[in-house]
Amino acid sequence: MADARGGPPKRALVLSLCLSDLCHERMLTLCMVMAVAAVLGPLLILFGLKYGTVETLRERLIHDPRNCEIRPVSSHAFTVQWFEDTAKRPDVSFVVPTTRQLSAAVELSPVGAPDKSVSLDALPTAPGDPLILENGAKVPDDGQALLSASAAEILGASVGDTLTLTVRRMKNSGFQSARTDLTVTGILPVRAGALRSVFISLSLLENIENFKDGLAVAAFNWPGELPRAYPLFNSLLTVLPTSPRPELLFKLTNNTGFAGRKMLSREEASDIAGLPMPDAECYILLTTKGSPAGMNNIEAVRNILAGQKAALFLPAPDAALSLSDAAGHDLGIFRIMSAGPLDSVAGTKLPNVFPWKEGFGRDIPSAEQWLKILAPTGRFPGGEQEATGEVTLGGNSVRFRVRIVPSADVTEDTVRAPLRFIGMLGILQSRPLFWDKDLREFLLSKRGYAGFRLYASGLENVAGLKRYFEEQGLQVHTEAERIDDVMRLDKYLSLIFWLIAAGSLAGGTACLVSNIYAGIERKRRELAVLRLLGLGWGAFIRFPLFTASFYAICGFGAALCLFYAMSFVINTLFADHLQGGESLCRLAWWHPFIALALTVLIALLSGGIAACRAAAVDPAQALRDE
Amino acid sequence: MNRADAGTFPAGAAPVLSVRDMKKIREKGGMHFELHVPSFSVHAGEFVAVVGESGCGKSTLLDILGLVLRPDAVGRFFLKRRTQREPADLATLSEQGLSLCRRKDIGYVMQSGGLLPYLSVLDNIVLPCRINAYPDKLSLKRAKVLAETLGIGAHLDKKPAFLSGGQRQRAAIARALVHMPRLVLADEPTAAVDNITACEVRDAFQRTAAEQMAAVILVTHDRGLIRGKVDRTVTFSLQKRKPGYVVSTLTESADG
Repeated sequence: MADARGGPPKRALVLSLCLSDLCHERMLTLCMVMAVAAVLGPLLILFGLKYGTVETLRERLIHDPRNCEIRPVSSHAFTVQWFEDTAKRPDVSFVVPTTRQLSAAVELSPVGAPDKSVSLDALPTAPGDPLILENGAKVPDDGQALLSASAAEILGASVGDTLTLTVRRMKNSGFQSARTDLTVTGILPVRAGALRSVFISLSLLENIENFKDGLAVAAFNWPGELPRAYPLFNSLLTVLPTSPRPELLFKLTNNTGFAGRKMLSREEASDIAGLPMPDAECYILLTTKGSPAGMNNIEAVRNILAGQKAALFLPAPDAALSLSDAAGHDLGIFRIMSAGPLDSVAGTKLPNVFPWKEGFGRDIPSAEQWLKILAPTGRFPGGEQEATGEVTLGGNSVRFRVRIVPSADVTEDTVRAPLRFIGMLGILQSRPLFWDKDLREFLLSKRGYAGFRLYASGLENVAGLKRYFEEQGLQVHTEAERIDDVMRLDKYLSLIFWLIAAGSLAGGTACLVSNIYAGIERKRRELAVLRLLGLGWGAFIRFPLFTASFYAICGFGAALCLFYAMSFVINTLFADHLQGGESLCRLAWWHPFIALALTVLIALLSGGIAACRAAAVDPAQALRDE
Repeated sequence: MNRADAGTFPAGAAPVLSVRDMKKIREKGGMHFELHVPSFSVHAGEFVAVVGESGCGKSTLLDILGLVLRPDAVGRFFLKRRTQREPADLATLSEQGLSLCRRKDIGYVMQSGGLLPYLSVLDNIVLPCRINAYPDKLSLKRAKVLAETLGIGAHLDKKPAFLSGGQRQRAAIARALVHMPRLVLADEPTAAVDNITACEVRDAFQRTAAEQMAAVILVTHDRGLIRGKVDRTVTFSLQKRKPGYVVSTLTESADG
């Protein structure tokens, strides 16, 4: 031979011998592969089921906005400011005010079929509502409605239908109702909530509440009263020409709405009233505590002082009026002063610019008549003019149209306003007002909201938010118990699953080991021949390891095919109960790799042990036909 | 002292295999068996038969010579190697060294051939060359020539299962010789075939081994097969020292 030296046997030789062997024994190889697949297939499906169901459950739990919901237990008055502050919190994903429970009861019916009307709860919503968005629906706009599953079912309504919304209120021992039409823009799935409800925009719900409160709703031409602002005052200055008897003094603060009483000097009184005081014996300042005084309170004081020749002044609160003309040009900022006494008293030199007697009877004059302000002539040389006024007081501000009357008697940087306007400032201190352009009237804004719909930005924030609200003295309801229950159930289910899986895994391993061991043991004689022919230990041991790996990899491949086929069947069968992207039986992308590695490891171990045994036994025994 | 290395061969040439004062003890089921080899050597081209009844230590001897069983004590255990001038001292070689000796310098013919069922006859024959990583083209050529010489040239592409017993043994002989070993060990190579075939196989074996001057040690219990055909015959003398204690000693046969 040309090259008799040679080298160590090539690696490929053992591999090719191994493959020849496997190919030669096709049927037996197939049996072994199937045996391995039979062990691994059900195990993979079991793990797939466990992983799929638990993941689906957990995903649902985490992504179900209902679990993040926090509801107030009872009604409160939440201010707009409260909502703004709460919405800014990072642990709050969404908050929208709600009205009182009673105000949310509405009726829906298909258009033209009022006899098929259904009572349900109206819930307010706003852009970003997670309950709606997570359930794949669109947030309804004004004039639109989103129905819950049960509401849609009982109404027989589908997307695109038009429904009539009916609101009722008690009026003179009868019902008065108002209607508007809404377009159904979506229907929520059952999991969003089992109650019969309709989601509408907050402004529509506020209008419904207003109507129920007896007010008119201009937007829908619903009849009713106007929430006219009524004057309120914090203090009253009484000027008495003679010293009053003690019992009269007592009467002034007894059940009149005024609680404080203070004697002033003439100068002090002039300063507070912003008017020169007539010469008198006694100047008494009455002040309120807590709620301000209304017209009836002032009337009560006036009655007490009847026949005393007293003059009553209503001091203006410390407020500034900023004026601008129709084009928006700034006309200056002025301190607001009272225009005159409530009852005219001899000695006041102010001209009577107001063509009516200042009184607070039931007949409310229109603002056209009374909303006039005396301003310094030096600043308004052009005569009377229309302007826009703005006052901010107690955190509330209001803009309105006002008529400016120049007057030489008004000092620079001040304006003199009628008492009714002073009363508007009094109300502005305690609650918001707005100027209705069409009615030319100050109307009361909503005081606040009875409740809210709030969603925490994650399950983990629910408990913290609950604590935060309870520290504010606000009792809230959360789904904490439900979350706990599901978490615990998940834990126990997982434990049971792992126990079953551990048993199956042990059985599977035993089966795999015995199959591969038997497969190698069977080849002992041929392995002994190879060893006799001088195959080194390393090469000799490689043969059974290759064989075992082949069984394991092919078996695993077959098992994986089985798994994917079965998981497809399972997921298809249960498709009705699953949402997009969910599956009941699935593995993460890295699971098969781990499983393959484990299988090959077990195969190599069992194959290696079998091979070592084959090598350790007296080779002579393997060589003979015994 | 019994000597089993009688010198019919030129005394000057060093033997291929040389064993002295070897002892192997086997104990099984309360039986004690001792194999003694006082002196045994085989020269290149020599065809030596080892005969004896079953249980006399034939297989044990062959396993030791075949380097799959280590002796318990040995005075001298040398094997002449193809590629080295000095003979290898088998008593001191590591497992790896023994493996290398088996691969390069020893050929085996097993009882039923010991052919790998999943390889074709040609692949079986050429396997020792491949394990030695000898050039494949030359190895194949040589394997084919050997197969022709042994009369199985027509069956090279078949799997061993499709051969007769005689053909299988011829293939096994070809495999034992293909890598040109110094020593060929044959363990009852004709036990599974009929008499006529056995004689044919024996003749083909002798002829091809002689062609490449390989030393052959043939183990058999069939004295008729080897009578007058081999260079030398060695056998065992059994000695029962007490019940369950047997000592077997390798000796030159009387009819050798």
